[in-house]
Amino acid sequence: MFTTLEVASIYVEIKPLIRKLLFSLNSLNFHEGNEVIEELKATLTAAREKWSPASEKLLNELYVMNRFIYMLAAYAEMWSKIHKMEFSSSWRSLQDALGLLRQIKRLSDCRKSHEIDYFENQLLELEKLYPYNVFLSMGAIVDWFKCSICSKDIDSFDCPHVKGELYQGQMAYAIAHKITELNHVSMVMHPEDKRCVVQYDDKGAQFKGIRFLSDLIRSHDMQLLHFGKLEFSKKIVKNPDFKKGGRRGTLVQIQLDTKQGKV
Amino acid sequence: MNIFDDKETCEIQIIDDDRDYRAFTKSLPANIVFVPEPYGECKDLVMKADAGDFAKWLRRIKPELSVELRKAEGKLMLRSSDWWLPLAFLATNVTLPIYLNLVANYIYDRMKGALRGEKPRVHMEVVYEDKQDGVVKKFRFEGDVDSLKKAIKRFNLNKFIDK
Repeated sequence: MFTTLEVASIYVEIKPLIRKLLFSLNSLNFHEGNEVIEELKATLTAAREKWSPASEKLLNELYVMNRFIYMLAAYAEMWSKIHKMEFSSSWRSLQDALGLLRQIKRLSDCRKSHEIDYFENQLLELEKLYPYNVFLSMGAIVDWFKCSICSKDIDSFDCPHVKGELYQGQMAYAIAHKITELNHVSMVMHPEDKRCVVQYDDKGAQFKGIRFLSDLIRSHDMQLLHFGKLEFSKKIVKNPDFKKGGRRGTLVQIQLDTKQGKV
Repeated sequence: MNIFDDKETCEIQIIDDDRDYRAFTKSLPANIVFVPEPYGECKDLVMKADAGDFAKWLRRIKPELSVELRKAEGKLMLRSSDWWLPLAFLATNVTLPIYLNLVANYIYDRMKGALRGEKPRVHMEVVYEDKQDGVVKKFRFEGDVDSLKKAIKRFNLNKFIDK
């Protein structure tokens, strides 16, 4: 998953902790899970101090490792919220985890890692249980975008940095400087940020799917690590309130009316 | 039909008012120039969101191409996951298929972090001179990167038939 010897060795060191985290989550012990995450963060901080000053490649891989640990934190938070039936908020944690996965895949050579594949598959399947498929996206006119590293205009050739790339373990990003006009808010299917949704109540019928999964987990009928694939099927259910109309009676009435020349 | 269905557009039209483009080819400051354009009801011309990023990428990948970014009154920030490329003027030595291939490579490069099933869409407009007809044309495209690749193939085939 990591190419530098130093970061690969930390990864070997933290693997038992990751396993412990997943077992804690699986046994619904979220408190222990949070403690493991704090331990993971502390291990990374110690490694950073140990190898300071470090080469750019090492710093960049440490950044990716940091994103991986934060992805695990978002993942744990999401399951904890699903367990507590805080569905609206769990959607945000799910999107946090997916956003961090995108960063990890883009910035590292771990695109074909089994660990990443496992989280990606599970999280993308989970996404399907939520009621969101239309999102809000805003359009605005901005004076210019400042580079988070050199403070120059990131869209100019004066700034040597590229948005989303790593430099000495820091990501370059664009900071909107002076929004001159808020142009529109549109409804889109593919937004930049899937957190921009119309909020529903956690008890609402919209969360039927994710609530069903939450019930299965809370009743111990399913372990959360076993959740992998969804299959949707159609079921025909009779409406108990449906009452057959008197079609024959109506027909007779029409015939009668026709005879009397009223139709 | 769903109003949110992604529509695909790939069209070429002849430009009646080609003064801006002709002025560019006369002065020839660069091979590719990105220019601000009108957007919605904005009173000033604006530069599309991915202009700077794409221009920098082009300079890095194809240093032999000179790329210029015109100054704009404002930059358009859109929060959809689509790629909004700026209006480009191509000098006569840069053909449309070459430019489209560069766009496709840029999108593939930026898609490295995409999750399973994520296929971003591209919105782009290019102004170029069709040497055969001697007219200035605008190519407009909206679709995903696979459709863009198909459009490039069609162009190459047309060129081959014309020969």
